[in-house]
Amino acid sequence: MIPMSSNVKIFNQRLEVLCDADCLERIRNFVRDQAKASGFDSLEVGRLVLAVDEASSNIIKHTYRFAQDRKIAVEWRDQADRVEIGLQDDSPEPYLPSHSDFDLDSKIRYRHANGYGKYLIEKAVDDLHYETIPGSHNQLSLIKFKPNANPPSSSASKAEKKAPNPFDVAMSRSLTLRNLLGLGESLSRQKDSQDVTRLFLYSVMGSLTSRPVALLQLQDGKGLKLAGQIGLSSRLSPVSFSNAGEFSKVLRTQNAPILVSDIAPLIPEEEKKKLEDLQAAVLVPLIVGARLLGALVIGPKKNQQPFTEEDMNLVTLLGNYALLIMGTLGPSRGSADWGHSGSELRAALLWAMARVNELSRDHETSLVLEDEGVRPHLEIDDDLLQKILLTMITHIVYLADEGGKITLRLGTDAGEGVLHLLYQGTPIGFEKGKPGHNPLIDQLITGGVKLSDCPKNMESTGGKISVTSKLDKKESGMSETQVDVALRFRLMKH
Amino acid sequence: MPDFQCETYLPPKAAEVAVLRLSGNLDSYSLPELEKNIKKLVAEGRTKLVVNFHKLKFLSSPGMGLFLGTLGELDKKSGKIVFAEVMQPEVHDAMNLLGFFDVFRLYEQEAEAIQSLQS
Repeated sequence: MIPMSSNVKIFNQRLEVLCDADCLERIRNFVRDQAKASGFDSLEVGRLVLAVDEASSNIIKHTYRFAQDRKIAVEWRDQADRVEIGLQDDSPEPYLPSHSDFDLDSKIRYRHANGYGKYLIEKAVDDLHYETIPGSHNQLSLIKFKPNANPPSSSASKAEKKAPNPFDVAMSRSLTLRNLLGLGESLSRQKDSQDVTRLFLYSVMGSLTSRPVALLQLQDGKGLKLAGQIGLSSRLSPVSFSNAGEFSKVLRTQNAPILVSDIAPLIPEEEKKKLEDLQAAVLVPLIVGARLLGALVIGPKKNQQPFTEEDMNLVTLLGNYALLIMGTLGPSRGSADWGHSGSELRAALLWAMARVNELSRDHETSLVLEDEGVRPHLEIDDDLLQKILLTMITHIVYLADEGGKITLRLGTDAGEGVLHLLYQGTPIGFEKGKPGHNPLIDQLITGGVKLSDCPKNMESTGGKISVTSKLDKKESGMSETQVDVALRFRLMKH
Repeated sequence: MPDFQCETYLPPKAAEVAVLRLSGNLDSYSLPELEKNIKKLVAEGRTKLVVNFHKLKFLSSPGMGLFLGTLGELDKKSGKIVFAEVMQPEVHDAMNLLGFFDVFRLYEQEAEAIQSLQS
């Protein structure tokens, strides 16, 4: 046993520790002692120790990021037929959901290094649930029936168990693209768009700020309206900003997060008051092409300190995620208005690369642009191209957990501009066209979509997308996926 | 400091083989040390690894994930990892829960494990 120090307090069957390098050992020892005292055999003791270690590690790694001044409390509640182990952190940020489509065989087969903690916890205990007290803490409860107890029968337990709720958030995890896209897919099946937005933000913002966050969305082209909020003590009555007002004008001219204090002199008192009600400190305009879709409104930092450059980079990233999710949900916009910029393809590719490099920070996927020395002027709407590229590339990054290589190769062929998006790496099931993907991906996978199928003002652009993919088995026995997405465009007339 | 040690043994006349003898607890805090050791050995061309668990008391998913990830890397280099002397029931059970014994060959003795990598 590690000697107790001032970092450890025991209250009956409660242990509270500061998260220093020895804290997991203390937690394991506590659980081991309690589990033995509750009458579990050595196998079950070991599994309970493992479960609590996994849960604690997740908090330390993903919520606390190994900060040593944070606390974890473990409570052991011994009841007649069961024990309930409560794990509480001191983070007001909510947990993030985990995927429901965990496939152990696949992860092992493809040598995935991460993501086994929750699985092990679920193998070790009989039931678990999570609760977030907004602005306060998170509580994970693990339940294990005692050896001689009669756990509820299967039919009774089905009645007792709540129906799976896609918004049951799991332990806090890092803000990865995988989590967000998975959440977006879940959210896209919900009907109430305000709740959808709210829950998206609720989950996403956990890693960044504990203060209020709101999403303003351009609706019917008439103005920015509150589409969702988290962290505010009471649901706000509808808030709207005039589309033609100074607030919207300021947002349109920005393409980066702005401090409210910097723009306050520019906006009318009435709009300023609305921002105060939202406890706005930073605004993140959500712009695609030249079109303002909305804005993220972020409250002050938990420690009341100014936003640093790193903070602003993080909220920019959050803005990109919000845009991606809004794209999945279908951003509210009036008549389809893709615009037609005729921008050079290269500019669009560089934009996509920058976005993907930001989004794929947690993955080892490399993105390379190979330019064959040709810089054609392609007649393609860069909004749509960016959407296609971003959708394709981020889905590949999402699926290729162990990384791979994406090459963008630009050139001409028979009078047409051609962009090849080549992926080579660990199998991603891309060729199977999994259900639930972005519909655009499904269209692409099933054999191509003509750009003329897109909103009617794109007809003049023309072009075609084809997707081929194959799964190769290499000599080593490992499989590799190769995907070739070819986008062909008419060359602009000079 | 976390209670974890990793001792490296390089068998003579086996240029590609290295043995990692673990002791203590392999958890989120002690993981970086092991990761560093493995990366160093692989960089030096030691692509056939024996991991000896004789004195390891605890193993959780970060450590198991590291072994899997390393196996993935070594697959590309025609390398291998095998396990030896998984003595502690808790460690054995954790590996079993993830189906590790379908992926990693387990030897009762370190010497057997080394020999398997040399043949």
